[in-house]
Amino acid sequence: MKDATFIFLTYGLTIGVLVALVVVTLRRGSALARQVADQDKPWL
Amino acid sequence: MSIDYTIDHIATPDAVAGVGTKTSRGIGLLALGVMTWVVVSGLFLTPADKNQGDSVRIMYIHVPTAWIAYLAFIVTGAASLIVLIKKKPALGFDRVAGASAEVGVMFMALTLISGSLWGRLTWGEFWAWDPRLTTTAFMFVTYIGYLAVRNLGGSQQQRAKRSAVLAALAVLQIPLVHFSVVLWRSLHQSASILSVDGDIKMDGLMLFTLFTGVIGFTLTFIWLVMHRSRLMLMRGVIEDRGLEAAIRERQRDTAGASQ
Repeated sequence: MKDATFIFLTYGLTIGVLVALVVVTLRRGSALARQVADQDKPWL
Repeated sequence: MSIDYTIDHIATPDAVAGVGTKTSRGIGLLALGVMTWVVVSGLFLTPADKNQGDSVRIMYIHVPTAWIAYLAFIVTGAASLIVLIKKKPALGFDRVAGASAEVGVMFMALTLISGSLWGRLTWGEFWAWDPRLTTTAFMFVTYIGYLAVRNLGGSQQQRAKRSAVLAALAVLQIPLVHFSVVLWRSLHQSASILSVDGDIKMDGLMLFTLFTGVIGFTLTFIWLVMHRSRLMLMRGVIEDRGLEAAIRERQRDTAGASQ
């Protein structure tokens, strides 16, 4: 594949950023959920 | 270490209901599956373009991230309009607006990065002060400003109204960015999929990969907005609780001083 460095960098960065955001969101969500009662979580 | 402590230590995390639900887990798994297909197909299955060569593979990321950034900012704008129109405080819509803008800024950053990598391969440079690139960068900065405004002081209602005004104005940039390639002479290519006469200009698998990319990124966007708006709600609950505690303490102090 020609220009493989640029192409793999694009895919790696994009997927890496998305995964990082998902992990941060889940970890923060779990930390906040411990401080909030279940009745204050309307999605339950 | 006592047995009680051990049981409590293990049991606590499971006893707390987090931000996930059956629906959000389903969306997340679907997004994961679709995105895996997009990566495999984009990198290894689709053919190279006769003009762009292998650099066309960047398009399967670049085009969907740009579309999702537009979608995110449109959602922010629409939710903000509801906040402005409704008489009662519509904090749920404000949270959707904020979460969508956060995710949109991230997608816009990915669009700019993937676009500049593609530009280096195609134009020979990472950045050019081209109308499409310049208006996109301006929109990116505007939404960073919007997120900063959301964090300014005041009650949740005040912040919601204030940021809704900005979002309702900022969304007007989207047509300008999108049609910049038509309005001005631009280095950036025009429509990637449809020509002006409505003919589809792409090979079947290339088009399918691009289309599934849009679906995969859309599912990811929905998952992120659902979860991040729930985080905002919980932060608001904690903030309100802190405010109520401060008011109670102040009232106790005032009552103590008057006795």
